[in-house]
Amino acid sequence: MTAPILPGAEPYSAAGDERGALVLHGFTGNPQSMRGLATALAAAGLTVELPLLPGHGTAVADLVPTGWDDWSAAAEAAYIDLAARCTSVVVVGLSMGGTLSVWLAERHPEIAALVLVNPLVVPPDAETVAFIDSLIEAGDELAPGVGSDIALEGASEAAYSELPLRSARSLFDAAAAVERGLGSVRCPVLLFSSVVDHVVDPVSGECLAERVAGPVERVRLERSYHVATLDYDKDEIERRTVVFVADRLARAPVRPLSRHDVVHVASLARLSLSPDEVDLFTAQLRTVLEHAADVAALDLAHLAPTAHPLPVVNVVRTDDPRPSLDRSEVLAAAPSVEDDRFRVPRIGGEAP
Amino acid sequence: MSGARELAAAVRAGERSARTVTEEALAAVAAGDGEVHAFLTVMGDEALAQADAVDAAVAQGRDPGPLAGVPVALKDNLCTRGIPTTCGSRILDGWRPPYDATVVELLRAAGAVALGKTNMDEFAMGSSTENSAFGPTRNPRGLDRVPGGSSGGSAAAVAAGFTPLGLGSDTGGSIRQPAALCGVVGLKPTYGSVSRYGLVAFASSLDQIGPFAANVEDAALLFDAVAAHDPRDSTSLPGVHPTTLEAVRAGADHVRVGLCPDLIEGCAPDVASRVYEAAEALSAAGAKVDEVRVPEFAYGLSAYYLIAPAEASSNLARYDGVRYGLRVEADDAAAMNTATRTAGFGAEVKRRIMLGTYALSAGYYDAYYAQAQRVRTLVVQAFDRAYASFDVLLGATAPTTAFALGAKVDDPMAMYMNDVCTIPSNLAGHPALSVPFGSGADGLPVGVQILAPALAEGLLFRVAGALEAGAPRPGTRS
Amino acid sequence: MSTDSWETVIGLEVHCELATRTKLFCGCRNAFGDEPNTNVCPVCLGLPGSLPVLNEYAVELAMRIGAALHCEIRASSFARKNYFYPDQAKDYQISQYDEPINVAGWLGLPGGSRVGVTRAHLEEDTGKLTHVGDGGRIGSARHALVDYNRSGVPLVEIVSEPDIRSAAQAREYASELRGILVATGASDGRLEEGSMRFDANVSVRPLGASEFGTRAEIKNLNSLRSLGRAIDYEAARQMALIAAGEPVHQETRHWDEAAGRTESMRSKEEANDYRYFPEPDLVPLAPDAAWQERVRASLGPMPADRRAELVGLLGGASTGAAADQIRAVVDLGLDPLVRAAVTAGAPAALALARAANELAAEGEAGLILAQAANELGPGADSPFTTIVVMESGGTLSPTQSKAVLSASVQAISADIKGGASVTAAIARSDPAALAKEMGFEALEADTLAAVVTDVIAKNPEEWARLVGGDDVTKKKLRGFFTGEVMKATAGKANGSEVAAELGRRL
Repeated sequence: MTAPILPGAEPYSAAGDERGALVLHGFTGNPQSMRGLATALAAAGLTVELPLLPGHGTAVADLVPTGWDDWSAAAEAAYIDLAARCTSVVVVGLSMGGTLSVWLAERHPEIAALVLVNPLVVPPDAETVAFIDSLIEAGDELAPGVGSDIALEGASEAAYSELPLRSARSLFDAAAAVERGLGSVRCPVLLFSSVVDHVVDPVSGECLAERVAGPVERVRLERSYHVATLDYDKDEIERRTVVFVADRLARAPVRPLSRHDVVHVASLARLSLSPDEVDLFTAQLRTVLEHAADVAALDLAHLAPTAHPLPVVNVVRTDDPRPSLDRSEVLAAAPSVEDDRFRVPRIGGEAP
Repeated sequence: MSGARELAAAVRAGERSARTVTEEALAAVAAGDGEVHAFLTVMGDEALAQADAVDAAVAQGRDPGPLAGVPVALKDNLCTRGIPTTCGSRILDGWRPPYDATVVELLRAAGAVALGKTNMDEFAMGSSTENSAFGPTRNPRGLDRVPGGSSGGSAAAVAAGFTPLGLGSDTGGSIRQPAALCGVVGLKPTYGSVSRYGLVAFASSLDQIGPFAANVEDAALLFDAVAAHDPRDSTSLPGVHPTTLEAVRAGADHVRVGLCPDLIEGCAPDVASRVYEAAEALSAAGAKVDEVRVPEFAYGLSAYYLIAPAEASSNLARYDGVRYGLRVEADDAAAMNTATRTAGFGAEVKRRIMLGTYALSAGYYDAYYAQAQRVRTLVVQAFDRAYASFDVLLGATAPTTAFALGAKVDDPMAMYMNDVCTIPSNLAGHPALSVPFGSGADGLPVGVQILAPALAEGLLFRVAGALEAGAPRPGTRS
Repeated sequence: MSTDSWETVIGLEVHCELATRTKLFCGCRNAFGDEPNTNVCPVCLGLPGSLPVLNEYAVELAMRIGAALHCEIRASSFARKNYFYPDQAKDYQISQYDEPINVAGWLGLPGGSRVGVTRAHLEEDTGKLTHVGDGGRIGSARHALVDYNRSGVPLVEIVSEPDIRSAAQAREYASELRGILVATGASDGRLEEGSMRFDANVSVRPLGASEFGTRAEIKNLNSLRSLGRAIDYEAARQMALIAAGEPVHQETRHWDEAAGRTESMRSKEEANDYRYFPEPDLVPLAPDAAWQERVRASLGPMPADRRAELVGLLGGASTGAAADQIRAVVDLGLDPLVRAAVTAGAPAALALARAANELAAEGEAGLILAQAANELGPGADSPFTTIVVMESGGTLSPTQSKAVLSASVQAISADIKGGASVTAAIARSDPAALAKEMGFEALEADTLAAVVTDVIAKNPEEWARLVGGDDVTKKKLRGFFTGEVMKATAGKANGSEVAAELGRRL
């Protein structure tokens, strides 16, 4: 039984169009830090999900028994749910939320784009990690918190004042794995990096920008500290994110063909497939569609579709009868005839 | 067999009887087609009857027509009344249309003799004729090789010398590519210039019927006989199409030829070098040859593989076991439809039907089908820009010479890549022609492709005639 | 929840078969009742290789409908609606989807209100299915038989805005629409032959609400009566559900005429994905301004105009009974006869009454006269005019006039059945001769006078009371004497002349 959700820490959802945005908060934080960004995306028309990750936003005691596996499972479930409702999805994350975002992109190459604010991608050096391990062994559970690293006077993050050591440890291990997989991230990335960050070393940003395979748009934040989404550059972050997302998702490819899609279209086309055939056709069709992704991604909104190659209009004939076919010739070709009509087995439903 | 033009002239002059010509053709087929398998149905009795009618006309002093007595091979997706028309599929096995396609009527009026129905990829979907439900056709120039597709049977019939002329259909290259692989001439006409009435539809906005022949002049002769407005086809171009026969000997002097790297770069080196040689040959013939880039062609393949299957998925819905063709019985009508189609269609057809259904389905229409139609506009505009400075474009027809039977059947995407040079013309509705030009490294034929704007078949034939005159002797390697 | 102050919201989709000679995309005959599968060809059977070619007259009729419904007539294109069904020969229907030929019109109801018309587009009809098995209903059938004679017949689908608020109003809309369709020549209006079929979208909501409730679609209603009954039932059904706190499902329902209720048709929630895309075998339609003008100019007066004209003939008044008569006369297409009679000098009210009551009662036979009047033009002779003028001139009494009218119409009808053309039969008819045959000679003035004298003589007491009586007595006894005179003349006397003659004696 968890403690009640802190005011302002509630998850946030917005129903929008077929473009989706998954927004992820950081370690010991909660949706409060990302609500501004989430609502900005919702205002731009997207379908937005800003979940409250397990153990967060209530009391630190609830966070203690959780770790990376729990938070990543929750983030992935939220992604899958959103992806089922949308034709393309962008993932947005702050700090550990950024780690989760990159982790998702490595596992789900169909994610259209990433927006990262001071993501943790390079774990602390071996010395620091060893020190934390020694504390854990010594029986320490909690350390002073890292929340609310904000330059702007009067602004604050409603994060926990302490952090669980074991949980942090699981995060560092995960970050190391994420760092190793950076090369497989192909989607476009918008990366906000605070020049002064007291929580996550700027080396994470450098490393990420260099190692991902796709295009990176870097924005250096001169005035904000770690929780930049609540800091001086809050509005700038929101504005640039909305522009970036609108641009990328308009040109992003459609989500890939699934087995379910193949079964569905086979049924629409009155074809029945064996399970092996479903597998084979899914793989083959997916290849063709991937090839077609280059076309799907083109920005051709200014062109009218060509339905007919050559400009002919108004082809008509006069209302004069012409000879019909001889009925016997017509029915001779029929598989089954009764009373001079085509016979078919009973019909299950009414006409559409 | 001698060329169609000579043959028709001889028959019209009474020097040869159409009957004899037909008998010889039938004998050649009986002797040689066991190996090639170009034909699915040989129209022995009907052909002889037609030949007799031609001879009777000649005897009575009536004009028997410009193709008098010339045997023609008809792709099996052209409706021939009372004669089986299978489209290479089990689902139409045994079906006899109660009517003739317009082109079949035109051929008869021109005095031609329909010798038989030729093998094809099922419902014209394929580039090797290996998707036929009745077994593949072998390339007469290399019996372990494919003849190309989907009109492989007609191309092979002409290449094997069974008939001087053939008719095929071209939706993404299905005349030109087999022509190139078999070493014959193949033309895809301007969309709307040959009636589609009686052509079993694959992709309605892309399909066109066109000629195969052993030489350029014969191709022009056949084209002239079938290019006509047809009120039964709403997409048929109004007006009279100018004849092209005279253009064949007109030479390529001063024709501005755009050598297009985008139609060469993806090809095997031996094919590419033949295209460059062709450019030189045209230069020597007085054409003005320059390079022109049309990068938009690269998008054609993907757009085609969305548009064509989409239209096909709708065109092939009618094969439901109710009115004609195969029926597999079941308890209710829907189950009967499913059982029939599942049993009657081959894998490639099913693949494209599902792809097309997906591209049109709710939620995907705009991203796939509508987008592909916008790419089509892009390609048309790109052609227009190129034709502002050039009269024709020159490129390869197929990326390689004829590949081995079985080599690409398990890789649909690899098979689709065969169409990359031919597809742009279908998307734009423009005419394009493949003419043999030497051989590849393996001694197999290479075809080079000439593209022209809508209704410019005359230009195509001029350039093709010049290329034919300047082509390396068959059998010379590059 | 109480649904006492709830309203019903109805939108109608009407499929109208066009009165063309041939089908929409091929030259097969568009005929009702022929032997199965005799009006078929490669195109309407969907044979491989067949192609559609658009019927010019169907386009003309579609434009007339659009013009009559005050629509904007636009450049349009065709689209394929893809679904599998045995009566759909190609397993897709060629219709119009995002670019229909007519949009944004309206239809005026006789009471004065307007119902918006969203669109009216062209599409092809399906073949006809017969379910064979127990009961002939689809649910219990063992197999089915298909006749493609109707496949490809041209239809215009007319979609109304959800502006209709009751079953009665829906019937009014349907009836008025039918009149308009007949007036444009687009339809023969024979509902019993399937010339018009109605689908009703019905939902309910609280009065004053702006959002629509969930709607159910009732398909394929074939008569005005079932249209009304089905809507009433469905509205009540939905309100009962809501009152019980249960949801109304968006679904298609079927009206069971015998049982008097709607039933759900869709077994699963699976909505059809029709995968509409532009029809590649047809090129776009762009009727130029000149063609559109010709169409608008060629439109005759619509029922509303014709009713207004009759009102004008009556001198502007049109109260209850007269309004009903006007509606009936225009509905049946008998108004040309009324106009012709009035032109020839007959009183409008009389012509109207004879048409609405007596002529209408003659049914099909009576319509023949109207048809002739339409064909021959306003100036031509019509037996109707002759008879009504005879009556108004006193040559025939009302009783006699009605009898002659009936006999005249029957005679013409028999003549035509015997093989005569309409024109010939009408030319041959001679109401005056018929009247004489029936013994309805006009009563000579002195003959009437003599009869009156005679009747007065036979009833001296009553006459005395009439002469000396008060107004009430006078009125009563006038009636008595008129009746006696009528009896004595075997109905030949003209009531007003009798009154005049009596008046002279007083």
